[in-house]
Amino acid sequence: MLLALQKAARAGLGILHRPLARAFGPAENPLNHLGALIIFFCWIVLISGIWLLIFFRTSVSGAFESLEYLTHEQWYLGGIMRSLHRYASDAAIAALFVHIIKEFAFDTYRLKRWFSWVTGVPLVWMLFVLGISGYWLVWDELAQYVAITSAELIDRIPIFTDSMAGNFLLDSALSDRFFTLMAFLHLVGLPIFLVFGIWLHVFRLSRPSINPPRRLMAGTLLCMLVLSVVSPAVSQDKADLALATAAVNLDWFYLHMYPLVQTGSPGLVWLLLVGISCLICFAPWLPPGKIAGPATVDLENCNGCQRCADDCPFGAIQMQARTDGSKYELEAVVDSDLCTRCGICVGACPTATPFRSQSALIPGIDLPEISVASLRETIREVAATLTGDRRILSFACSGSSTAAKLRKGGEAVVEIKCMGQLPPPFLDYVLSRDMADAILLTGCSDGRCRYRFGTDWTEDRVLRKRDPRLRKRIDETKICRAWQDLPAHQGNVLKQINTLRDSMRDSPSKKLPDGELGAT
Amino acid sequence: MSTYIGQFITYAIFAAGIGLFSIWPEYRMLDDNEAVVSVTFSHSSKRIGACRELTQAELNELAPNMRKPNSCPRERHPTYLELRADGQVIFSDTLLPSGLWEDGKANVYHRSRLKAGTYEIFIGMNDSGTSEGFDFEETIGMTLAPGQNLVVGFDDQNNMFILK
Repeated sequence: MLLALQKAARAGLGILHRPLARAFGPAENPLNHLGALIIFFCWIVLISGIWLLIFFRTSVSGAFESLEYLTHEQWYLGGIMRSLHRYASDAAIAALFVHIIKEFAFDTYRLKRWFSWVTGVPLVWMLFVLGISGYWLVWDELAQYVAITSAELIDRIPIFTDSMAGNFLLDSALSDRFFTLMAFLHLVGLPIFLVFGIWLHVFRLSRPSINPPRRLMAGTLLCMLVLSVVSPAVSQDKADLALATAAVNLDWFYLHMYPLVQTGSPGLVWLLLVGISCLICFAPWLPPGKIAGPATVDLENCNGCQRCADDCPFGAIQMQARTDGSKYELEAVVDSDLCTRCGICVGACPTATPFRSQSALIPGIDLPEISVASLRETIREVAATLTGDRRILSFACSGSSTAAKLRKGGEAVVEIKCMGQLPPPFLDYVLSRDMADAILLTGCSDGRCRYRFGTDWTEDRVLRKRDPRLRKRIDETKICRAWQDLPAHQGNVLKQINTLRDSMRDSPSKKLPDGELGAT
Repeated sequence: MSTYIGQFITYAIFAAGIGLFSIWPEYRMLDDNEAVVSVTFSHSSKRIGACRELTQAELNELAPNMRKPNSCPRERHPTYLELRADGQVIFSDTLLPSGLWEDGKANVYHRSRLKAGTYEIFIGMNDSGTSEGFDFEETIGMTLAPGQNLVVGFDDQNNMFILK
């Protein structure tokens, strides 16, 4: 059931991803910067909100009138700020939904990532409460509807004695102090918690992406500005508690659950909200979770070079003073709670070389699930099946489904956890020992790596920009990199490998083509 | 060039989606010819038993600061409420007193939709636990305009219903 949902979500995202990747490129694809985009929208909301605050009057009659002034009298600035405030809030929610679906679809919420996933749940609640409280402040018909419906929801919590909703049925029951309270909550209280929540959300990530690429920010801001000019946000009729609200133009991004209060019941809405929140919170521990052992350090082979700590996308490795009396200054220590078992640290380890002559190949850091020694054996076995004069050995990460596609196409494939797990000496090993004539590396695309930086680090290592670098004796053009976008498009990898093979036939001495699908 | 066209189309679709779903589709709660009758108030019903005067011996057993002449049960009766329009019951409920000891106020909040028009509105409340009849009741002839929100409350000080 869960796997089917994830597959469906991936297929849905695939429909979005392909045109976006074409239009923006992998580096600026909005789908690869959803979290950062949400934060950017929050910045727009904050700055526009400060302008609105300057003119906002916290009283029953003043609230509506001050916003009317901004919308109509000061339309050129206040009106645009108000529209930006509204639309950026909505855009944040839209991006938030896709963000959640994407993390779910690619199963990037388990193991160590549970922390970001679970801390995201109160963030969603805060964002909604913040947005909904903003609608109260306008004090138009929509605000009246939101106030009464919200109060009906709150009344359902069995800790209040007096009915809160009753306060929104008579003008005499409503005081200016209520608006002061709401303004405080909307402008000060909730935003402080939101900032703290965002910090907590990315707390355990190394190199968190806080800002989207500049061009994406500029384009998004321009998009919001144009929308604000073309279709300015306006108030509905002023709230009148003597009248029952008959119809409202709902903001469906924030208020999609509200009609259920009337058509169903407040209890049903709470059941859904709390039930879905609990389900999301427990999702990292629901089957089919795979829990393998974390990376382990072998002090006899660890020289304390720190590359594993630098490359770990989750800050799971710390360097500390040697505890074994070795001549080296530092040693790596793995925090098993933070380790996602991706193996990127193994790919960074300079001692993970298959050329070592010792009987047991044990690097400074290794994954028990797929050890470097077992990887060498697998490479030997798979390479032995290659025949002919255009032998291509493929490496595919298990996070994508390219391995299955390649096998189905009759190709020789070595599957690893993440492309970042593959130490560059293994590429040297395959080519210099004449196990294959060329190598295809295929995995998730830039910004889409299941373990965040696997493809980035591999790309840099092969191009000799990052340690451990590919040895100079290897012609890197014999290593074709075909980073994939989404499983829906991974059929292309067969086309890619055929192009590579044709190229080898036409001009074996010429440069081999580089990956054309992704980040190369 | 095609890249910029692609980006333009993406931004246009995104903006259109945001602009559209921030106000559309309209959500309608009432038909054009409907009004709402809202019943909302808090009320302390009568205690489940009469107060009893303490004997001097009983008073002597109490600490000096706790000596009150009467002893009253804390619990209160459930409150039965009924709202009728032209004799037809449109809302009725038995409200339990709040609090762990069931000694607090009973609360009611209910909204009923009615067709606009002239009605004889009846509201009755039984808060003494008697099996029949109402302790408080009010009947009033009223014309409800489309979209009107008639609020029915209860004034605890004067023991009477308020219709606004």
